[in-house]
Amino acid sequence: MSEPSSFWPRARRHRSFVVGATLTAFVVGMALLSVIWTPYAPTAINIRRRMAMPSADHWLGTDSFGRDVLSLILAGAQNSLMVGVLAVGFGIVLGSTLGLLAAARRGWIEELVMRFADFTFAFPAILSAIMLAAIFGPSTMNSVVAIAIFNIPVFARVVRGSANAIWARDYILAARSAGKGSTRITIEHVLPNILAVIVVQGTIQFALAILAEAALSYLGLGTQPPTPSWGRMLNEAQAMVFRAPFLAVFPGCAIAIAVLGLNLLGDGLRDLTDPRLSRQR
Amino acid sequence: MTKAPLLSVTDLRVALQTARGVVEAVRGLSFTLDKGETLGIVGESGCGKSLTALALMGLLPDGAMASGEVLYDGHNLLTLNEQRLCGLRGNRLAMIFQEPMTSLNPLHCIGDQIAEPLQQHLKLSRRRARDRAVDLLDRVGIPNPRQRLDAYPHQMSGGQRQRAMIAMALACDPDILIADEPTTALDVTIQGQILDLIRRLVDDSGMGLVLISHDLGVIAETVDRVLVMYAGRAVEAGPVREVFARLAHPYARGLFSAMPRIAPGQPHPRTPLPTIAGIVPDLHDLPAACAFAERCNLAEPRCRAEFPPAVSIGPAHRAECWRTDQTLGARASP
Amino acid sequence: MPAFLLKRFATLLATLLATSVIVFLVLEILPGDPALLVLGIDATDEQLAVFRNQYGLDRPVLDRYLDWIAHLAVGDFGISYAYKTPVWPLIAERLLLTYPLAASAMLLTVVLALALGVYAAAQHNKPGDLAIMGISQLGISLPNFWFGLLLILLFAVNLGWFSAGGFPGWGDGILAAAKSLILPSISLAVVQAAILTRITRSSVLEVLREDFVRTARAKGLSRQAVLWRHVLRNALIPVITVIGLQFGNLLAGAIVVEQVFSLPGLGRLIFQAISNRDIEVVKAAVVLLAFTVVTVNFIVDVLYAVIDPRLKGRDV
Repeated sequence: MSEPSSFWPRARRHRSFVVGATLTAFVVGMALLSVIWTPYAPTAINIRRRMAMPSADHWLGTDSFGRDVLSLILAGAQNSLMVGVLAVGFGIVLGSTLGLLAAARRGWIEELVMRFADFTFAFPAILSAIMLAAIFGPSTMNSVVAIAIFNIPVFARVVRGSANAIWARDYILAARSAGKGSTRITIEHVLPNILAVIVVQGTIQFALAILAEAALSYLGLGTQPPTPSWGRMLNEAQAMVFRAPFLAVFPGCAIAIAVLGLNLLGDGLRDLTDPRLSRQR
Repeated sequence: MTKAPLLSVTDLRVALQTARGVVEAVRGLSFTLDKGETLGIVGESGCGKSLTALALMGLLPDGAMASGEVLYDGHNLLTLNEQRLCGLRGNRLAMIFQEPMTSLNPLHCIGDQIAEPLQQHLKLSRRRARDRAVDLLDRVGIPNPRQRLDAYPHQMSGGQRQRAMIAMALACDPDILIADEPTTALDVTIQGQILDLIRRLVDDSGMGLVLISHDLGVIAETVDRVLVMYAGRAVEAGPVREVFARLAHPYARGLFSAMPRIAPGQPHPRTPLPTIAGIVPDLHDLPAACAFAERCNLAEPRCRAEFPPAVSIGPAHRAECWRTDQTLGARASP
Repeated sequence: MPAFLLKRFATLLATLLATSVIVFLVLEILPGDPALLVLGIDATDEQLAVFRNQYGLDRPVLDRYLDWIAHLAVGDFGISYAYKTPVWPLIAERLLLTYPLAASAMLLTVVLALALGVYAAAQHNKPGDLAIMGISQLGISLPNFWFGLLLILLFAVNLGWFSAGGFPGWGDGILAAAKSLILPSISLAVVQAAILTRITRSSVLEVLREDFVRTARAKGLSRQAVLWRHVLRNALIPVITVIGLQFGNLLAGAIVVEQVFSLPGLGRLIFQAISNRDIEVVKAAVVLLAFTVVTVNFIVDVLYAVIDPRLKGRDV
């Protein structure tokens, strides 16, 4: 980990970090803005202005129901970010707990956690979502749970690897001989030292979560209308692809910007927090 | 001698691109090597000896630039084009590296790796090259060579791997063999065997050997002539017996006394080993004077002000030092 | 068979078993009563009882599970609740589209990624490398289904080179069928190829720093020859692992992209099954997809050992 004093000056000069942080801030800004203001109500249907080309009234045009595309995209950012935060949040909490437990207890517990983590690759997020949708029906929560399930082993693996490295250090031995229990050592020494790793991985998983959420909404397994979501917008745009091709462009751009921003931010954070890796990219 | 030497190096310089600017790691090295002659280059790590070896092979890492002249067979190797250099490397010039562990490709069997230069330079078929590889493995003393052909590096011991490396280097009967710390990574008992092997092969084939080592013992046992390098310069050079007998440069003297010696039959010396005080100088700000002055207990103001001259100590023996009068006592004079 | 292969095979069987347990638990036990789920809350007790009896749902859980996998083992995937016909022929027909789609996308991914990744590494920090890195960063950020839509916009709507979707079936000539898989394969492959290109590049760069590369150069091999003969095979080891993991993404992605191009593959069958509450079909399709992913990873592990002789001696 880097000392805080040197982080910002270096960060400001790091190109991936600056571009990534700017794009991410832009998307977060869109979501926040949409809470208090959108040009039109995102769900307001206007049959007389269906599939209008972009204009001064509707900057990004209107969709097949006459809804304002810009308003839908702004509101859609809320949905993407919310699913991302919840899914990655669950993934971090549950996965890190498992990873820390594995590193602290070792033995058969570690073995069990790692075998479980190895095994979950058999279920990509979409497969989990399919099973959940088959039972509970499609919903936003469905996306959250499916993406979270996919994230748990990712964090378990990363956290366990980093935590093992911390456990091998001398000051842990000192803390142990001072009679501290493994729970206390984990909280006082291990966790603070692997926070950077978790943040970096979390950023990258956030990007993947936004992609997965979009795919699930597109398939109709995730967020349901009328709640605005980028994936759903693309689904509806596809039916109109010959009549209003521009409808298929803007929501995709929004997804790509959000994902690109988070990916660059994650790369930048990794470079800035792990000096060993900084020269390799 | 009237005949031109096998290899003639004149004012070799190697510049490195670093984060803090360009530095010269080899600063004007000159030496010659005759057929059948063995030359040792000795010095601490970072003195530029490995870069010298790589410069001779034309294998400097990216960001390193060599200048000066390395004359072999009428060509300056430093300006030869890559294609011609490839024709010489592994063919006329061969090299052995320090780490037999990592210097062999883990995914190819030994036989194929030894056969490779034969296929490359002598255009032998894979089958015939592998037959030759059996002879080579036999020559470097690997038992059951035919069976070992299909062994992978991870199935061999360190000493065996280094023998295989030597077989690889000898494949095309090179004129010059460059051995960069060939025994450093090996167990002490194996070290002697490998040095014996190298010496015997050099004697048999009549090739020239450049042996690079930080270990004076290795150098003393193996070579005819020695070059003591410090901060990119040859501070002392000459016949190995002469140099070890006189030790005209304070640095050579320091290296020598820092070497543990246990004479047979004598009790273990109780005195701590003398060391050379200070650290290897930073190449970024070398003085325009003697680079060793800061660590030298004989240094006087002149040493920190001007480059020392090359003082002739004896036939083909010289040292770059202002204070040879001190080191050699009353016997020598500039 | 060497020890390591046996061990890998045992792991494969254990993983397949665990996969089947998960799918069974989630789809057959979690919902509570499948009969209620399928017939809805309006169904009479009598109807429910008949349904349960018909599909053996009134038996103990363990019996049902053992029965299910015993039938799976011989290729019997049960009876569809909605169509009242065996599930396997329904799925088999769709697999003829989904498997070739995933396989061709995989092939495209590997070819693109190896070519670009090795080229970028050879051109380290030169314009070619920087361009490939920039494009791949962009590629990683694209949703594959959106990229598919953009391909439709360009090649179907504007240029008219391809139809916007649909599948003529393999019966009407292989060429026409293959043509309809081109755009879907590309949209699937681009994202994965972008990821794999970066991994290939960094793996090649790492191997280029190894000592044995210098040894090979000291033998007189040109940079090119060293790259092909010594670097590539070593660099492939981590790349192959990632390829195995990517196959799962490709198969899952195929389900999405089938929707974009209106292809009658496994994806469409699954979505119909979900809206029909046809749990038996969902269960079969999901377990089959998961099995495929697990098996491909097993094959990749074996491939690994073919490339790396160090693994053969050890049991990993």
